[in-house]
Amino acid sequence: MNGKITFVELVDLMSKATSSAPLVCDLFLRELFGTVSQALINGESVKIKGVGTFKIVPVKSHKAMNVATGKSTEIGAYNKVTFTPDKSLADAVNQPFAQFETVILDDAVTDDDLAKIDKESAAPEPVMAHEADRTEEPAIQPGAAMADAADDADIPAAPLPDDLPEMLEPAPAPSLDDLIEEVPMPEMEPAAPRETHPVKKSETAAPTKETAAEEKHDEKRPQPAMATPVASKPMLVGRPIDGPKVKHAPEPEPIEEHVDDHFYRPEPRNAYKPTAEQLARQKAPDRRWLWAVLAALAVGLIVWLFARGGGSSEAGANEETVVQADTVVEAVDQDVTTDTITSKVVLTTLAEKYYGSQWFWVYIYEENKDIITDPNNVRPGTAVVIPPAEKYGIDVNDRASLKKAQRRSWELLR
Amino acid sequence: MDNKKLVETVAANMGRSTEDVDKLLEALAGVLRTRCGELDCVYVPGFGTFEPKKRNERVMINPSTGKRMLVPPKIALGFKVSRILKSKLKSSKGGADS
Repeated sequence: MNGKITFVELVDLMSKATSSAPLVCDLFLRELFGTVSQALINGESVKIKGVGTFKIVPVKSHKAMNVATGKSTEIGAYNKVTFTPDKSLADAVNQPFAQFETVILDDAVTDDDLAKIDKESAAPEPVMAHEADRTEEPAIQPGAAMADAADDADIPAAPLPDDLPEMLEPAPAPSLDDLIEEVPMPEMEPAAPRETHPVKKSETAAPTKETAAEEKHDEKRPQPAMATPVASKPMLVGRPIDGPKVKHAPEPEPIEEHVDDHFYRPEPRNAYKPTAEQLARQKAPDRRWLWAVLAALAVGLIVWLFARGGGSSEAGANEETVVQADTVVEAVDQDVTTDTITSKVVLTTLAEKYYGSQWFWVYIYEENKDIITDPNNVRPGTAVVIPPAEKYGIDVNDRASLKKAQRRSWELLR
Repeated sequence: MDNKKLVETVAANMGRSTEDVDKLLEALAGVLRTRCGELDCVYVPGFGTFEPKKRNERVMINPSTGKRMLVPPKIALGFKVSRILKSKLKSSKGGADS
Protein backbone atom coordinates (compact mmCIF):
# COMPACT_ATOMS: atom_id res chain seq x y z
CA MET A 1 0.00 0.00 0.00
CA ASN A 2 1.25 3.39 -0.98
CA GLY A 3 4.26 1.71 -2.40
CA LYS A 4 5.80 2.37 -5.72
CA ILE A 5 5.80 -0.50 -8.15
CA THR A 6 8.92 -0.40 -10.20
CA PHE A 7 9.32 -1.68 -13.70
CA VAL A 8 10.92 -4.90 -12.51
CA GLU A 9 8.05 -5.60 -10.14
CA LEU A 10 5.52 -4.78 -12.83
CA VAL A 11 7.21 -7.24 -15.18
CA ASP A 12 7.19 -9.83 -12.45
CA LEU A 13 3.51 -9.31 -11.64
CA MET A 14 2.61 -9.52 -15.27
CA SER A 15 4.59 -12.65 -15.91
CA LYS A 16 2.83 -14.26 -12.98
CA ALA A 17 -0.56 -13.19 -14.27
CA THR A 18 0.05 -14.50 -17.77
CA SER A 19 2.43 -17.32 -16.86
CA SER A 20 4.73 -16.20 -19.63
CA ALA A 21 8.43 -15.53 -19.43
CA PRO A 22 9.43 -12.26 -17.75
CA LEU A 23 11.44 -11.43 -20.82
CA VAL A 24 8.32 -11.41 -22.96
CA CYS A 25 6.51 -9.11 -20.54
CA ASP A 26 9.53 -6.84 -20.37
CA LEU A 27 9.65 -6.59 -24.13
CA PHE A 28 5.92 -6.11 -24.34
CA LEU A 29 5.87 -3.24 -21.86
CA ARG A 30 8.74 -1.52 -23.61
CA GLU A 31 7.08 -1.90 -26.97
CA LEU A 32 3.69 -0.83 -25.70
CA PHE A 33 4.77 2.31 -23.95
CA GLY A 34 7.30 3.09 -26.67
CA THR A 35 4.52 2.93 -29.24
CA VAL A 36 2.20 5.01 -27.10
CA SER A 37 4.89 7.65 -26.51
CA GLN A 38 5.66 7.78 -30.20
CA ALA A 39 1.99 8.21 -31.05
CA LEU A 40 1.69 10.98 -28.47
CA ILE A 41 4.74 12.70 -29.86
CA ASN A 42 3.11 12.54 -33.27
CA GLY A 43 0.11 14.30 -31.78
CA GLU A 44 -2.21 11.32 -31.76
CA SER A 45 -4.38 10.32 -28.84
CA VAL A 46 -4.16 6.70 -27.80
CA LYS A 47 -6.83 4.50 -26.33
CA ILE A 48 -5.82 1.36 -24.47
CA LYS A 49 -8.56 -1.06 -23.59
CA GLY A 50 -8.84 -1.63 -19.86
CA VAL A 51 -6.37 1.14 -19.05
CA GLY A 52 -7.65 4.39 -20.47
CA THR A 53 -7.12 7.14 -22.97
CA PHE A 54 -4.05 9.28 -23.33
CA LYS A 55 -4.70 12.55 -25.04
CA ILE A 56 -2.40 15.30 -26.03
CA VAL A 57 -3.70 18.77 -25.45
CA PRO A 58 -1.97 21.90 -26.68
CA VAL A 59 -1.59 24.61 -24.08
CA LYS A 60 -1.39 28.15 -25.40
CA SER A 61 1.32 30.43 -24.23
CA HIS A 62 0.14 32.37 -21.25
CA LYS A 63 1.33 34.73 -18.57
CA ALA A 64 2.11 33.47 -15.11
CA MET A 65 3.41 35.11 -12.00
CA ASN A 66 6.50 33.96 -10.23
CA VAL A 67 5.24 33.51 -6.70
CA ALA A 68 8.61 34.21 -5.11
CA THR A 69 9.45 37.42 -6.93
CA GLY A 70 6.02 38.60 -8.03
CA LYS A 71 7.23 39.14 -11.55
CA SER A 72 5.03 37.99 -14.36
CA THR A 73 6.61 35.73 -16.91
CA GLU A 74 5.45 34.37 -20.19
CA ILE A 75 5.08 30.61 -20.40
CA GLY A 76 5.42 29.42 -23.94
CA ALA A 77 2.96 27.12 -25.64
CA TYR A 78 3.46 23.45 -24.96
CA ASN A 79 1.67 20.15 -25.19
CA LYS A 80 0.46 18.29 -22.19
CA VAL A 81 -0.79 14.79 -21.75
CA THR A 82 -4.12 14.06 -20.14
CA PHE A 83 -5.09 10.62 -18.99
CA THR A 84 -8.65 9.45 -18.53
CA PRO A 85 -8.83 6.05 -16.90
CA ASP A 86 -11.04 3.43 -18.44
CA LYS A 87 -14.37 3.01 -16.65
CA SER A 88 -13.50 -0.48 -15.44
CA LEU A 89 -10.14 0.67 -14.08
CA ALA A 90 -11.56 3.78 -12.45
CA ASP A 91 -14.27 1.73 -10.77
CA ALA A 92 -11.81 -0.88 -9.57
CA VAL A 93 -9.60 1.80 -8.05
CA ASN A 94 -12.52 3.56 -6.41
CA GLN A 95 -14.04 0.32 -5.19
CA PRO A 96 -13.61 1.06 -1.44
CA PHE A 97 -15.78 4.15 -1.79
CA ALA A 98 -18.13 2.79 -4.41
CA GLN A 99 -20.93 2.31 -1.90
CA PHE A 100 -21.29 6.02 -1.16
CA GLU A 101 -23.56 8.31 -3.03
CA THR A 102 -23.88 12.04 -3.14
CA VAL A 103 -26.26 13.21 -0.45
CA ILE A 104 -28.36 16.31 -0.72
CA LEU A 105 -28.03 18.30 2.47
CA ASP A 106 -31.10 19.56 4.18
CA ASP A 107 -31.53 23.32 4.42
CA ALA A 108 -31.52 23.07 8.20
CA VAL A 109 -27.90 21.91 8.23
CA THR A 110 -25.86 25.07 8.41
CA ASP A 111 -22.22 25.60 7.66
CA ASP A 112 -21.61 26.00 11.36
CA ASP A 113 -22.94 22.51 11.98
CA LEU A 114 -20.63 21.06 9.40
CA ALA A 115 -17.69 23.00 10.76
CA LYS A 116 -18.50 21.78 14.25
CA ILE A 117 -18.59 18.20 13.09
CA ASP A 118 -15.30 18.64 11.30
CA LYS A 119 -13.73 20.04 14.41
CA GLU A 120 -15.08 17.29 16.60
CA SER A 121 -14.03 14.53 14.31
CA ALA A 122 -10.63 16.11 13.90
CA ALA A 123 -9.80 16.59 17.55
CA PRO A 124 -10.44 13.38 19.47
CA GLU A 125 -9.97 10.99 16.67
CA PRO A 126 -6.22 10.50 16.46
CA VAL A 127 -6.39 8.86 19.86
CA MET A 128 -9.39 6.88 18.86
CA ALA A 129 -7.70 5.75 15.74
CA HIS A 130 -4.97 4.06 17.65
CA GLU A 131 -7.37 2.49 20.05
CA ALA A 132 -9.41 1.14 17.24
CA ASP A 133 -6.34 -0.19 15.55
CA ARG A 134 -5.15 -1.89 18.65
CA THR A 135 -8.41 -3.52 19.47
CA GLU A 136 -8.76 -4.82 15.99
CA GLU A 137 -5.24 -5.95 15.47
CA PRO A 138 -5.73 -9.59 16.43
CA ALA A 139 -8.78 -10.18 14.30
CA ILE A 140 -7.89 -9.46 10.74
CA GLN A 141 -11.25 -10.10 9.26
CA PRO A 142 -12.43 -8.27 6.23
CA GLY A 143 -15.81 -7.83 7.79
CA ALA A 144 -14.50 -6.00 10.81
CA ALA A 145 -12.73 -3.39 8.80
CA MET A 146 -15.73 -2.99 6.55
CA ALA A 147 -17.82 -2.36 9.61
CA ASP A 148 -15.44 0.42 10.57
CA ALA A 149 -15.80 1.97 7.22
CA ALA A 150 -19.55 1.81 7.52
CA ASP A 151 -19.42 3.25 11.01
CA ASP A 152 -17.26 6.11 10.05
CA ALA A 153 -18.99 6.84 6.84
CA ASP A 154 -21.51 8.65 8.95
CA ILE A 155 -19.12 10.83 10.84
CA PRO A 156 -18.33 13.40 8.17
CA ALA A 157 -21.99 13.82 7.33
CA ALA A 158 -23.58 14.11 10.74
CA PRO A 159 -23.03 12.88 14.25
CA LEU A 160 -23.97 9.32 14.94
CA PRO A 161 -27.34 8.88 16.50
CA ASP A 162 -27.25 7.45 19.96
CA ASP A 163 -29.59 4.66 19.13
CA LEU A 164 -27.51 3.31 16.27
CA PRO A 165 -26.65 -0.02 17.87
CA GLU A 166 -30.28 -0.75 18.70
CA MET A 167 -31.27 0.34 15.29
CA LEU A 168 -28.84 -2.03 13.73
CA GLU A 169 -29.28 -5.03 15.91
CA PRO A 170 -32.73 -6.22 14.97
CA ALA A 171 -32.11 -5.96 11.27
CA PRO A 172 -30.10 -8.87 9.96
CA ALA A 173 -28.26 -6.88 7.29
CA PRO A 174 -29.02 -3.17 7.25
CA SER A 175 -27.96 -1.75 3.95
CA LEU A 176 -25.46 1.05 3.97
CA ASP A 177 -27.72 3.25 1.97
CA ASP A 178 -30.21 3.23 4.78
CA LEU A 179 -27.59 4.49 7.13
CA ILE A 180 -26.56 7.24 4.81
CA GLU A 181 -30.09 8.38 4.31
CA GLU A 182 -30.60 8.65 8.00
CA VAL A 183 -27.61 10.80 8.44
CA PRO A 184 -28.42 14.32 7.29
CA MET A 185 -31.64 14.62 9.23
CA PRO A 186 -31.44 17.71 11.35
CA GLU A 187 -33.20 16.40 14.44
CA MET A 188 -30.42 13.93 15.07
CA GLU A 189 -28.60 14.50 18.29
CA PRO A 190 -25.17 15.94 17.85
CA ALA A 191 -22.06 13.92 18.59
CA ALA A 192 -22.64 10.53 19.99
CA PRO A 193 -20.09 9.84 22.69
CA ARG A 194 -16.97 8.63 20.97
CA GLU A 195 -16.13 6.16 23.68
CA THR A 196 -18.91 3.89 22.58
CA HIS A 197 -17.19 3.24 19.29
CA PRO A 198 -15.26 0.11 20.16
CA VAL A 199 -18.38 -1.46 21.58
CA LYS A 200 -20.44 -0.49 18.63
CA LYS A 201 -17.93 -1.91 16.33
CA SER A 202 -18.28 -5.35 17.71
CA GLU A 203 -22.01 -5.05 17.47
CA THR A 204 -22.12 -3.72 13.99
CA ALA A 205 -19.45 -6.01 12.75
CA ALA A 206 -21.74 -8.99 12.40
CA PRO A 207 -24.49 -7.48 10.29
CA THR A 208 -22.22 -5.47 8.07
CA LYS A 209 -20.03 -8.39 7.46
CA GLU A 210 -22.87 -9.87 5.57
CA THR A 211 -23.30 -6.74 3.54
CA ALA A 212 -19.67 -6.81 2.73
CA ALA A 213 -19.92 -10.38 1.65
CA GLU A 214 -22.90 -9.57 -0.50
CA GLU A 215 -21.14 -6.71 -2.11
CA LYS A 216 -18.26 -8.87 -2.95
CA HIS A 217 -20.54 -11.36 -4.57
CA ASP A 218 -22.14 -8.69 -6.63
CA GLU A 219 -18.94 -7.48 -8.06
CA LYS A 220 -17.31 -10.22 -9.92
CA ARG A 221 -14.06 -8.43 -10.37
CA PRO A 222 -10.84 -10.29 -9.79
CA GLN A 223 -10.11 -7.90 -6.96
CA PRO A 224 -8.51 -9.71 -4.05
CA ALA A 225 -10.87 -9.78 -1.13
CA MET A 226 -8.50 -7.99 1.19
CA ALA A 227 -8.16 -4.96 -1.02
CA THR A 228 -11.42 -3.56 0.19
CA PRO A 229 -10.75 -3.34 3.89
CA VAL A 230 -7.25 -2.10 3.41
CA ALA A 231 -8.19 0.74 1.18
CA SER A 232 -11.20 1.82 3.14
CA LYS A 233 -9.20 1.99 6.34
CA PRO A 234 -7.84 5.52 5.96
CA MET A 235 -11.31 6.94 5.62
CA LEU A 236 -12.32 5.41 8.86
CA VAL A 237 -10.71 8.05 10.97
CA GLY A 238 -10.46 10.81 8.46
CA ARG A 239 -6.74 10.42 8.31
CA PRO A 240 -4.92 11.34 5.16
CA ILE A 241 -4.85 8.44 2.79
CA ASP A 242 -1.20 7.80 3.37
CA GLY A 243 -1.87 7.03 6.94
CA PRO A 244 0.80 5.35 8.98
CA LYS A 245 -0.99 2.13 9.73
CA VAL A 246 -0.88 -0.70 7.25
CA LYS A 247 -2.82 -3.57 8.65
CA HIS A 248 -3.22 -5.96 5.83
CA ALA A 249 0.07 -5.08 4.31
CA PRO A 250 0.35 -7.39 1.33
CA GLU A 251 3.18 -9.74 1.94
CA PRO A 252 6.18 -8.46 0.06
CA GLU A 253 6.29 -9.98 -3.34
CA PRO A 254 9.52 -11.78 -3.82
CA ILE A 255 11.20 -10.38 -6.84
CA GLU A 256 12.70 -13.36 -8.42
CA GLU A 257 15.76 -12.84 -10.43
CA HIS A 258 15.39 -15.24 -13.25
CA VAL A 259 18.98 -15.49 -14.08
CA ASP A 260 18.38 -18.93 -15.44
CA ASP A 261 19.78 -19.22 -18.83
CA HIS A 262 16.68 -20.59 -20.39
CA PHE A 263 14.75 -17.51 -19.43
CA TYR A 264 16.96 -15.34 -21.46
CA ARG A 265 17.02 -17.63 -24.37
CA PRO A 266 14.49 -15.98 -26.61
CA GLU A 267 11.61 -18.13 -27.70
CA PRO A 268 11.73 -19.18 -31.27
CA ARG A 269 8.70 -17.08 -32.17
CA ASN A 270 10.20 -14.11 -30.55
CA ALA A 271 13.69 -14.51 -31.85
CA TYR A 272 14.97 -11.74 -34.01
CA LYS A 273 16.53 -13.22 -37.01
CA PRO A 274 19.49 -11.32 -38.32
CA THR A 275 18.39 -9.32 -41.29
CA ALA A 276 19.66 -9.89 -44.78
CA GLU A 277 21.76 -6.79 -44.40
CA GLN A 278 23.50 -8.16 -41.37
CA LEU A 279 24.18 -11.43 -43.09
CA ALA A 280 25.58 -9.56 -46.04
CA ARG A 281 27.82 -7.61 -43.70
CA GLN A 282 29.06 -10.74 -42.08
CA LYS A 283 30.05 -12.07 -45.44
CA ALA A 284 31.56 -8.76 -46.44
CA PRO A 285 35.15 -9.44 -45.37
CA ASP A 286 35.46 -12.28 -47.86
CA ARG A 287 34.16 -10.18 -50.67
CA ARG A 288 36.23 -7.18 -49.84
CA TRP A 289 39.33 -8.61 -51.45
CA LEU A 290 37.38 -9.41 -54.55
CA TRP A 291 36.13 -5.83 -54.71
CA ALA A 292 39.58 -4.45 -54.17
CA VAL A 293 40.96 -6.51 -57.04
CA LEU A 294 38.05 -5.54 -59.27
CA ALA A 295 38.48 -1.88 -58.41
CA ALA A 296 42.19 -2.02 -59.14
CA LEU A 297 41.48 -3.66 -62.48
CA ALA A 298 38.86 -1.07 -63.32
CA VAL A 299 41.19 1.81 -62.42
CA GLY A 300 43.86 0.27 -64.60
CA LEU A 301 41.38 -0.02 -67.43
CA ILE A 302 40.37 3.63 -67.11
CA VAL A 303 43.93 4.81 -67.04
CA TRP A 304 44.60 2.77 -70.12
CA LEU A 305 41.48 4.15 -71.81
CA PHE A 306 42.45 7.71 -70.95
CA ALA A 307 45.92 7.12 -72.24
CA ARG A 308 44.36 6.05 -75.50
CA GLY A 309 41.90 8.98 -75.39
CA GLY A 310 39.43 9.33 -78.25
CA GLY A 311 35.86 8.11 -78.68
CA SER A 312 35.67 5.67 -75.78
CA SER A 313 36.31 8.38 -73.17
CA GLU A 314 32.59 8.83 -72.50
CA ALA A 315 32.05 5.23 -71.53
CA GLY A 316 35.19 5.44 -69.46
CA ALA A 317 33.90 8.42 -67.53
CA ASN A 318 30.73 6.56 -66.70
CA GLU A 319 32.63 3.61 -65.52
CA GLU A 320 34.82 5.80 -63.42
CA THR A 321 31.94 7.26 -61.47
CA VAL A 322 30.62 3.80 -60.81
CA VAL A 323 33.97 2.64 -59.62
CA GLN A 324 34.42 5.68 -57.44
CA ALA A 325 31.11 5.01 -55.74
CA ASP A 326 32.26 1.47 -55.11
CA THR A 327 35.51 2.51 -53.57
CA VAL A 328 33.74 4.97 -51.30
CA VAL A 329 31.45 2.28 -50.03
CA GLU A 330 34.42 0.05 -49.55
CA ALA A 331 36.32 2.68 -47.61
CA VAL A 332 33.41 3.15 -45.24
CA ASP A 333 32.91 -0.55 -44.93
CA GLN A 334 36.45 -1.35 -44.05
CA ASP A 335 36.71 0.33 -40.66
CA VAL A 336 33.10 -0.05 -39.60
CA THR A 337 32.21 -2.41 -36.83
CA THR A 338 28.64 -3.31 -36.27
CA ASP A 339 26.97 -4.98 -33.39
CA THR A 340 23.47 -6.02 -32.57
CA ILE A 341 21.30 -4.80 -29.76
CA THR A 342 19.62 -7.58 -27.83
CA SER A 343 17.52 -7.62 -24.73
CA LYS A 344 20.69 -7.88 -22.66
CA VAL A 345 23.00 -5.82 -24.81
CA VAL A 346 22.11 -2.16 -24.96
CA LEU A 347 23.96 0.98 -25.98
CA THR A 348 25.76 1.33 -22.68
CA THR A 349 26.98 -2.25 -22.66
CA LEU A 350 28.26 -1.81 -26.20
CA ALA A 351 30.07 1.34 -25.18
CA GLU A 352 31.58 -0.48 -22.25
CA LYS A 353 32.69 -3.28 -24.53
CA TYR A 354 34.20 -1.20 -27.32
CA TYR A 355 35.39 1.95 -25.56
CA GLY A 356 35.82 0.84 -21.99
CA SER A 357 33.22 3.15 -20.47
CA GLN A 358 29.47 3.14 -20.65
CA TRP A 359 29.36 6.91 -20.94
CA PHE A 360 30.47 6.74 -24.53
CA TRP A 361 27.12 5.30 -25.54
CA VAL A 362 26.19 8.79 -26.72
CA TYR A 363 28.52 8.48 -29.67
CA ILE A 364 27.09 5.16 -30.72
CA TYR A 365 23.69 6.77 -30.51
CA GLU A 366 24.74 9.75 -32.57
CA GLU A 367 26.22 7.51 -35.20
CA ASN A 368 22.93 5.62 -35.45
CA LYS A 369 20.50 8.46 -34.91
CA ASP A 370 18.52 7.58 -37.99
CA ILE A 371 17.70 4.07 -36.81
CA ILE A 372 17.40 4.69 -33.09
CA THR A 373 14.47 6.84 -32.09
CA ASP A 374 14.70 6.41 -28.35
CA PRO A 375 18.09 5.62 -26.83
CA ASN A 376 16.38 4.24 -23.75
CA ASN A 377 14.38 1.78 -25.71
CA VAL A 378 16.23 0.34 -28.66
CA ARG A 379 14.45 -2.54 -30.25
CA PRO A 380 16.35 -5.81 -29.81
CA GLY A 381 17.72 -7.00 -33.09
CA THR A 382 18.78 -3.55 -34.25
CA ALA A 383 22.19 -3.57 -35.85
CA VAL A 384 24.14 -0.49 -34.85
CA VAL A 385 27.33 0.89 -36.30
CA ILE A 386 30.13 1.29 -33.80
CA PRO A 387 32.09 4.35 -34.86
CA PRO A 388 35.88 4.26 -34.61
CA ALA A 389 37.11 5.76 -31.37
CA GLU A 390 39.13 8.47 -33.14
CA LYS A 391 36.08 9.89 -34.89
CA TYR A 392 34.69 11.39 -31.70
CA GLY A 393 37.92 11.55 -29.75
CA ILE A 394 36.96 8.73 -27.46
CA ASP A 395 39.55 7.89 -24.85
CA VAL A 396 38.75 6.23 -21.56
CA ASN A 397 41.92 7.44 -19.92
CA ASP A 398 41.28 11.03 -20.86
CA ARG A 399 39.11 12.67 -18.25
CA ALA A 400 38.09 15.52 -20.51
CA SER A 401 36.77 13.11 -23.10
CA LEU A 402 34.83 11.21 -20.47
CA LYS A 403 33.40 14.42 -19.04
CA LYS A 404 32.31 15.52 -22.47
CA ALA A 405 30.49 12.26 -23.05
CA GLN A 406 28.81 12.52 -19.68
CA ARG A 407 27.63 16.03 -20.35
CA ARG A 408 26.34 14.96 -23.73
CA SER A 409 24.44 12.05 -22.25
CA TRP A 410 22.78 14.23 -19.64
CA GLU A 411 21.73 16.59 -22.36
CA LEU A 412 20.23 13.78 -24.37
CA LEU A 413 18.37 12.29 -21.47
CA ARG A 414 17.15 15.51 -19.99
CA MET B 1 -4.72 5.50 -32.42
CA ASP B 2 -7.34 3.10 -31.14
CA ASN B 3 -6.85 -0.11 -29.24
CA LYS B 4 -6.92 -2.34 -32.29
CA LYS B 5 -4.28 -0.42 -34.14
CA LEU B 6 -2.10 -0.23 -31.05
CA VAL B 7 -2.31 -3.98 -30.53
CA GLU B 8 -1.46 -4.57 -34.16
CA THR B 9 1.54 -2.26 -34.06
CA VAL B 10 2.90 -3.78 -30.88
CA ALA B 11 2.30 -7.29 -32.18
CA ALA B 12 4.15 -6.52 -35.39
CA ASN B 13 7.08 -4.99 -33.52
CA MET B 14 7.30 -7.90 -31.12
CA GLY B 15 6.81 -10.56 -33.76
CA ARG B 16 3.93 -12.13 -31.86
CA SER B 17 0.29 -12.69 -32.61
CA THR B 18 -2.33 -10.11 -31.74
CA GLU B 19 -4.00 -12.62 -29.41
CA ASP B 20 -0.84 -12.83 -27.33
CA VAL B 21 -0.58 -9.07 -27.15
CA ASP B 22 -4.24 -8.83 -26.20
CA LYS B 23 -3.64 -11.26 -23.39
CA LEU B 24 -0.63 -9.30 -22.15
CA LEU B 25 -2.58 -6.06 -22.34
CA GLU B 26 -5.38 -7.58 -20.30
CA ALA B 27 -2.80 -8.71 -17.74
CA LEU B 28 -1.41 -5.17 -17.56
CA ALA B 29 -4.89 -3.79 -16.98
CA GLY B 30 -5.43 -6.44 -14.30
CA VAL B 31 -2.22 -5.51 -12.51
CA LEU B 32 -3.17 -1.83 -12.64
CA ARG B 33 -6.63 -2.62 -11.30
CA THR B 34 -5.43 -4.58 -8.31
CA ARG B 35 -2.33 -2.58 -7.43
CA CYS B 36 -3.81 0.87 -7.93
CA GLY B 37 -6.82 -0.35 -5.97
CA GLU B 38 -4.38 -0.91 -3.13
CA LEU B 39 -3.13 2.65 -3.57
CA ASP B 40 0.19 1.65 -5.06
CA CYS B 41 1.76 3.79 -7.74
CA VAL B 42 2.83 1.98 -10.86
CA TYR B 43 5.94 3.47 -12.38
CA VAL B 44 6.87 3.02 -16.02
CA PRO B 45 10.30 4.47 -16.79
CA GLY B 46 10.38 6.91 -19.64
CA PHE B 47 6.62 7.14 -19.74
CA GLY B 48 5.08 8.10 -16.44
CA THR B 49 3.48 7.01 -13.21
CA PHE B 50 -0.04 5.82 -12.59
CA GLU B 51 -0.93 7.09 -9.16
CA PRO B 52 -4.19 6.78 -7.30
CA LYS B 53 -5.12 9.82 -5.24
CA LYS B 54 -7.74 10.15 -2.56
CA ARG B 55 -10.08 13.07 -2.89
CA ASN B 56 -11.79 14.15 0.30
CA GLU B 57 -15.50 14.52 0.66
CA ARG B 58 -16.75 18.04 0.10
CA VAL B 59 -19.88 20.12 0.08
CA MET B 60 -20.87 21.28 -3.36
CA ILE B 61 -23.70 23.49 -4.52
CA ASN B 62 -25.64 22.38 -7.50
CA PRO B 63 -25.67 25.50 -9.66
CA SER B 64 -29.03 24.77 -11.26
CA THR B 65 -31.06 23.89 -8.17
CA GLY B 66 -29.03 25.78 -5.58
CA LYS B 67 -29.11 22.73 -3.31
CA ARG B 68 -26.09 21.84 -1.27
CA MET B 69 -24.78 18.36 -1.70
CA LEU B 70 -22.29 16.31 0.22
CA VAL B 71 -20.05 14.65 -2.30
CA PRO B 72 -18.48 11.48 -0.93
CA PRO B 73 -14.75 10.88 -0.92
CA LYS B 74 -13.25 8.90 -3.76
CA ILE B 75 -10.04 7.53 -5.11
CA ALA B 76 -9.18 8.81 -8.55
CA LEU B 77 -6.49 7.34 -10.71
CA GLY B 78 -4.13 9.95 -12.01
CA PHE B 79 -1.23 9.85 -14.37
CA LYS B 80 1.96 11.83 -14.09
CA VAL B 81 3.99 12.18 -17.25
CA SER B 82 7.67 11.42 -16.94
CA ARG B 83 10.11 14.23 -17.46
CA ILE B 84 11.64 12.57 -20.47
CA LEU B 85 8.37 12.24 -22.31
CA LYS B 86 7.35 15.73 -21.27
CA SER B 87 10.41 17.32 -22.76
CA LYS B 88 9.95 15.31 -25.93
CA LEU B 89 6.35 16.41 -26.22
CA LYS B 90 7.30 20.01 -25.74
CA SER B 91 9.14 20.02 -29.00
CA SER B 92 6.63 17.86 -30.84
CA LYS B 93 3.99 19.28 -33.12
CA GLY B 94 1.25 18.43 -30.67
CA GLY B 95 -2.43 17.76 -30.74
CA ALA B 96 -3.48 19.86 -33.69
CA ASP B 97 -5.57 17.03 -35.02
CA SER B 98 -7.06 15.73 -31.83
